[in-house]
Amino acid sequence: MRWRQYISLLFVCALGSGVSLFALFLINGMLRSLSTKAKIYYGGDYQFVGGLNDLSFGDYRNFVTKIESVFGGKAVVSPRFDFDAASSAIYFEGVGVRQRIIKGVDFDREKKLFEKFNYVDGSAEKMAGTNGVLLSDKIAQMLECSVGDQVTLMLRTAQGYTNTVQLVVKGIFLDSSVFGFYTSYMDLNFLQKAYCIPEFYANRIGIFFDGDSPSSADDAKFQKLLEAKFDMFRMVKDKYIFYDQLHSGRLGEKYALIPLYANMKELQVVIDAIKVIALFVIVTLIAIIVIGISSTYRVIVMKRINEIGIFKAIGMERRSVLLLLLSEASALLVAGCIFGLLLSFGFCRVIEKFNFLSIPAFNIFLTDGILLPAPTIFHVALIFCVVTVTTIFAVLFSVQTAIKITPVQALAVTE
Amino acid sequence: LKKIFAAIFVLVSGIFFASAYSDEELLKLAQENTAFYGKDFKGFYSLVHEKPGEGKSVTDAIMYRRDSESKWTILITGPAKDKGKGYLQFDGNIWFYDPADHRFTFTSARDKFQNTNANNSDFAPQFYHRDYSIFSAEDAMLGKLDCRKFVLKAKVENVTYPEVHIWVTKDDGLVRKKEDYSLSGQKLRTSAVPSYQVVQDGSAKHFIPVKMLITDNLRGKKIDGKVQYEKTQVTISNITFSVLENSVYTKPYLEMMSEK
Repeated sequence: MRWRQYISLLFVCALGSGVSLFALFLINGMLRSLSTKAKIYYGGDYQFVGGLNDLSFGDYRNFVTKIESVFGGKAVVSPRFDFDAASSAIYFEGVGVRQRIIKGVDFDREKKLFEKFNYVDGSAEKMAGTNGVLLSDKIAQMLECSVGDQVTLMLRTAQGYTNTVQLVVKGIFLDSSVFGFYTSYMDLNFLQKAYCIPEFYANRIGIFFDGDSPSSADDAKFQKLLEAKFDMFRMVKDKYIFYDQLHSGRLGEKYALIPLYANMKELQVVIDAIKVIALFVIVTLIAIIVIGISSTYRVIVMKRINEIGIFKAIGMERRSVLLLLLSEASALLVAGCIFGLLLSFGFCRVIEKFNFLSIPAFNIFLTDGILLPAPTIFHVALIFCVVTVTTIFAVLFSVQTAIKITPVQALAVTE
Repeated sequence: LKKIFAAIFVLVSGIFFASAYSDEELLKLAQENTAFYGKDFKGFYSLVHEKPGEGKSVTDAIMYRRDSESKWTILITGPAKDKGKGYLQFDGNIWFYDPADHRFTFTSARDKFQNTNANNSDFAPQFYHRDYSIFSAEDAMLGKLDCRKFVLKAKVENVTYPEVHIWVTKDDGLVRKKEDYSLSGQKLRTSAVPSYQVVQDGSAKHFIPVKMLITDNLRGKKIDGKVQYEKTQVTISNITFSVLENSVYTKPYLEMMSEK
């Protein structure tokens, strides 16, 4: 009947590690989705901003060349013009929808970034140099327009005049309320002309790494390199620290490198909350595994006390007996973790079947409307190590008393 | 012989009227006709906003204007749900007051008045001569009205529309029709003023539209495959010219009136 206890231990280990891994994969996927959305919105992993008392580059070309020399060929350096579109609206067949922000983008440079967008229809492929516009799914629904339709953008120019331009809808994207609903994307040059500003004017320069995101060590390295070329403000965790000082006029001409997290200060509370919940779930599950296995193992060992007595009677040392028991526990844990990994993949496949778009404000964590878990070897190794090491120590503690018993005492015990 | 005399009369009167005002003078007169300096203006406004497919909504308001100080106050008296709301312009700023939260919020001359097709700027003097230069002018008949059609282009920044076309009757300098265009030349709005009422203020005569019909050329709805645009009809009545208290053009006045 002992095998049943081993099966139940295997089950506990598999379920605990499986759910823990699934939680980690899920959180990782959610944060990756959020990060991708943020990168598209902010123009990459970093934003280079600044100017004389305001965010503006009268002629961005010189800045782009210098920044490219700092980041090398690994990064895409692209100028952007974020147009405050609070008094602008897009009209289609009489229906008008107000805009929050319109982003002028160099689609040739940012091609790879915009490939990551979740398009409901169309794409950003033929946006460069045209009067195309990318609208959010929500705006397209409100306007009742689709890809290929011509819409009218009414905006106020830099001189304060009302202007209208005709735009062709080239892509409709699925995006979140935080970044996307009332944000549209246009060709940089076309937006500059519509807004009546000089050709090479920009107010942001995005820096995007098509691969691994830069680490905090990279942040410091790039900051230092940029300091050699520009009068830089210190690296901040919240971009508004720099904005407030720049706009106050106290800084004069100053520039700053804003990492992605410094752009998402408002979301950091949500991100931290998710991480805390995930950590709580994982710690609880691992505690269940550790306590469950170690206490069950104590019972198993007690039941096997005669067996231990025989091992000792035939000359096995205490250490060898311990090693034997720990090897069994290790085999059980490894098997449990492997089953747990398979189980977590199963959970991932299941969660991908559900559409979560109906949950308000949750869409910032979704990819194409679904939760897309992102498994990583690091997370698998982490859970395996934590589960194995902590459980082995717990088992070690549990069986200490049992292995100290003499062969005579052990053989005297009736099961 | 009668025909010859008639032809000569038409020709002479045409020359007379044509030479009565130069284009610049006529434009200036058109501008002056929209402003009432020296005294305060008070009038009742009724705005009927027609949204295709959604029916009509009526907004009633009382307007107070002191053009000499670029001040005005609009107090909304109907419908019941909007009663007590108000607009106030002074020191170059326009404020909107909502009694529901007792707060004044900043608004702009370009913003739509109560979401109708009238702009807040429509209730103030129209500076056709000061802010615009004549791009072209030509004779045009507007029904039976003998008009001069001006194509005006903004010569200063921050005017709502960079290009406007106005039809001004030659004999009295009254604007009979106006089209507002965007910088790219797209027509955004058409306003028609079929008739004016003359209000005698001492020795001065003021011309105030009886009705104005504003048609939006962007906002509307597609019905049966055709886009029908929103319209707003503004009717002005019970006009008086008298000196009003300075307090009328203050925030406390709006707050006080909204509680009545």
